[in-house]
Amino acid sequence: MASITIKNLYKYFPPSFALQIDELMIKEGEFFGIIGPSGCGKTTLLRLITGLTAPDRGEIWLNGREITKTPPEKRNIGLIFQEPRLFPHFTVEENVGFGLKMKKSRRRDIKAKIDEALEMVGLTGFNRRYPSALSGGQKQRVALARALVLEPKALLMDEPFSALDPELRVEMRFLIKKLQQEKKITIIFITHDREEAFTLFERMAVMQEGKILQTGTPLHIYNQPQNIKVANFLGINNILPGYIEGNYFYTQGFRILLGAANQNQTAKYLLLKPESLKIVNGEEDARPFLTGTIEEITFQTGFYHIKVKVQSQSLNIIQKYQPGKNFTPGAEVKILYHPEEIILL
Amino acid sequence: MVSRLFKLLIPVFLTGMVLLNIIPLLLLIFLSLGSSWMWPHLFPGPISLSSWKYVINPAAGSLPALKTSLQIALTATLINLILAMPAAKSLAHYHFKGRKACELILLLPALIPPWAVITGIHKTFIYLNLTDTMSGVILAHLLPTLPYMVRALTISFASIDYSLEEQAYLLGGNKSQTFFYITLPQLLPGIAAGSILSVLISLSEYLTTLIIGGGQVLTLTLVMFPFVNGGNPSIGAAYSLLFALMALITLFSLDTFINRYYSENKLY
Ligand SMILES: Nc1ncnc2c1ncn2[C@@H]1O[C@H](COP(=O)(O)OP(=O)(O)O)[C@@H](O)[C@H]1O
Ligand SMILES: [Mg+2]
Repeated sequence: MASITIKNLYKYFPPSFALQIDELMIKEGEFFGIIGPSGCGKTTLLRLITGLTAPDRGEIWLNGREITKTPPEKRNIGLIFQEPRLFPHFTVEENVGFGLKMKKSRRRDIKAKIDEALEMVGLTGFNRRYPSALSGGQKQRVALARALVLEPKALLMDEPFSALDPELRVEMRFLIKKLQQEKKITIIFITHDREEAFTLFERMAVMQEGKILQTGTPLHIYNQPQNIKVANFLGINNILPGYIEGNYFYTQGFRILLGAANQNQTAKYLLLKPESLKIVNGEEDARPFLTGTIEEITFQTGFYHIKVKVQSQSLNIIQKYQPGKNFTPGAEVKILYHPEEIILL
Repeated sequence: MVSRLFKLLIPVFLTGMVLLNIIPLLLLIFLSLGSSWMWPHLFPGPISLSSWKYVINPAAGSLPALKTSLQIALTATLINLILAMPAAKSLAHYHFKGRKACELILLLPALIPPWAVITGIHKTFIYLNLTDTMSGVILAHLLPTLPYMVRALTISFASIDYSLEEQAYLLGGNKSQTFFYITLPQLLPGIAAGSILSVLISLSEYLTTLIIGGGQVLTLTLVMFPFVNGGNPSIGAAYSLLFALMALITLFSLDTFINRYYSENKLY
């Protein structure tokens, strides 16, 4: 039984944007991600699910009930935005208790639930503070507590941590993952950050231009992207056009040996993951290789990102940093690849 | 160099402004105390409380006039609030054709001199049996005050953060709860500004009250006018001070009321 089901959902924004989702199912208790470039309609999709935006046509179901026409205040779906959207004239506890108060819960229950929610997000004792006296991370925690205290049927998060600094972002990811596992909350989480996607999501959808291109586990999509747009978005940025003949894929100026599983296809593109390639300076290895010249090297936290020119094309390669192993621009190098790790599309 | 000069001039300027405002008030006080202070005397003449005695005397009808003034001003302001709310919201948020024209038309009563329209209104009110009544005067007072209320509320509505309303809906708040807890607190500064203007303008309204009220509806302004207008400057001065006191107390109460409301509009 899917917790959230979307059927033939369509929304048009003049002059040129259309969101069209034929089918999307999110299971109860699932940590589901939506990833896609800016402007592809991620926020619009969440607003449609919460009811803040009305669709032109299509259906949205929540736990077996159609909610397409239900107003947002009756859906009990939480939504966390990139900005915390705290009520500035209310204290932390008034913010967190707002939803309970609107539902006319008993005062004593409200108090207990507020404290419990604040404890969950690590803000015990912040009850009387005003939002203006909180840091960015603390504000977002209050927003989280304010949503969680209502025990929403689903919690939607729209790039909730992208305004925070990197360390805090990692900390918040950890927190939300922990809460999700403890409480079995159904979460739809939006990001345009690949790293966030791979650390958080059980399943995800890749969106582009208002459409879902592919759904699956992050690893599955990474290993078997359905098309080059998906692959490119997930960071597989060596996309070589060409054709297969015999055991080889022929591309401009060189050929690549295919593995047993990859043969007899009518593929037009060959994809090489940047971290599946290995640069060797001279040492022997039985694997097939290409030869090229190092064009550019950048160093990022433990990894070299290296561009190597092979004939007329550039390959992006990620190499783990190893003491004593240096790369110099202009050097002639061998690039080893695994025939079994090649993706053909 | 220039900015330093400015910094020096600001206190001078401020002192000047304050003096300009205080000197007439001091003169009014002297005047109301019946003393004359004329050249070549170095000090004002002996003090007399007779003007104040006259003003306070029940026979002068100051107290009922004061009450009438306040009743009219506060009722008109309340009606203004109710009328201006939807108009201001539309002006601030809907970008319909002719919005600028609407804004201008709503401002017109403040731009056109009241005596240009008051005779027409008087005629109509005679048909409607509204002349010589308090209701008629209240209705007539809407004319010069409503534009200010609309203006103040429009600015308020335009500066509202609607993402907070969305947030309230998401948390289960219905329309009226959301308005009461989230929208209204953001509107309060505008409501305060509009109300204060409306009250003050209504309190000092003379011509409209005279013509529509037909001398039957006696506000403080009406009662004091003959004295100020040459009858007895000393009594006029006492009335002016009474008027200022009334306006000040009204402003102060309005302000406290709104602040109190604001701080009591807490969740628990
Ligand atoms: N209320 C709106 N009116 C008109 N166009 C909109 C509105 N909201 C979003 N859009 C358009 O829809 C597209 C998708 O926007 P959005 O869902 O915010 O993308 P994302 O969240 O993926 O960055 C954009 O081209 C945006 O300009
Ligand atoms: Mg967005």
